[in-house]
Amino acid sequence: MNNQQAAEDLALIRSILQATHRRVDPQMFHFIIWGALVLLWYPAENWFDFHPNEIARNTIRIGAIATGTVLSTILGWLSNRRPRLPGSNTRLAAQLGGVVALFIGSGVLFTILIGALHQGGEPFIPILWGFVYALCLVTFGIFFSKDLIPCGLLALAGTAAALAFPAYAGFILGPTMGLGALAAGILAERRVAGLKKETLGDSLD
Amino acid sequence: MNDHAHYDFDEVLMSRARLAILSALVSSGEMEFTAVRDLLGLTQGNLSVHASKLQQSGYLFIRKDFVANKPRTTFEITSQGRSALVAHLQKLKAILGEHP
Repeated sequence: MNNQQAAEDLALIRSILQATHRRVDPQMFHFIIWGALVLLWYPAENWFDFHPNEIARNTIRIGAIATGTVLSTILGWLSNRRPRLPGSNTRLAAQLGGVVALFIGSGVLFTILIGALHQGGEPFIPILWGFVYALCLVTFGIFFSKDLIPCGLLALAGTAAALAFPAYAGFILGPTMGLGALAAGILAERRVAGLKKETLGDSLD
Repeated sequence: MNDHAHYDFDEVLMSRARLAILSALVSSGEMEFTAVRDLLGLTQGNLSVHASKLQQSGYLFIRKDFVANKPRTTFEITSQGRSALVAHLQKLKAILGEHP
């Protein structure tokens, strides 16, 4: 082994470690689904605050939650049947999934607690979810792709604004949280598609 | 160019392909045969030969199972393989004067 061979071996190890570290499929199509729904659902619900119609309001809410849950479940199941990204770093993806599951699980728990313990606290539930999604997006931004950080900050800014003006929370969160999640999901899916085509291309003996 | 025979390199890892396979597995833990093949641009036969050699050395565990009635081969790095790669990396760094 001479210096040149050692340098080449070291460069090879580093390039592979870098490639495998980047090859993460965070399955962010869930954010596309929920981002698109929130974009329409939250402003629509807010509109019915000013033009009361409980039946229409509940129909939109239940319809949005049911649509999102069904689509997320089906696409998640299809995606788990076969890895979408060959050679993906399943360990990092699982760690990221664990963190996101913690955020989403906390969101569900607090949604139940707000409903059960604070009468009249319901308007704060969308704000809670804005915060949960902002945290998820910033986490993905740190560990997956920094391109997603602005999306998370947009959702965070929307959440803060919604907290300042709770009566207009749906109108504020629809475009901020909805577009933030939608844009992040599209960016991530494009990145996964790009990584799918990438090979190290080294001629190995 | 200096020859650094005194470093006593692991013969198994003197092959670039085997070094690449272990490097790919070290961060993800386990990968499917096709994923390693596509990632490293190796041929099927070449990958099989090198993976067998790594398995014989105790650096790799090869698991074969069926998913939706299709055979699937998965590679998993062993703790021995991980240690061997780390030791190899340290020797390379030492040759090049890099401190671990």
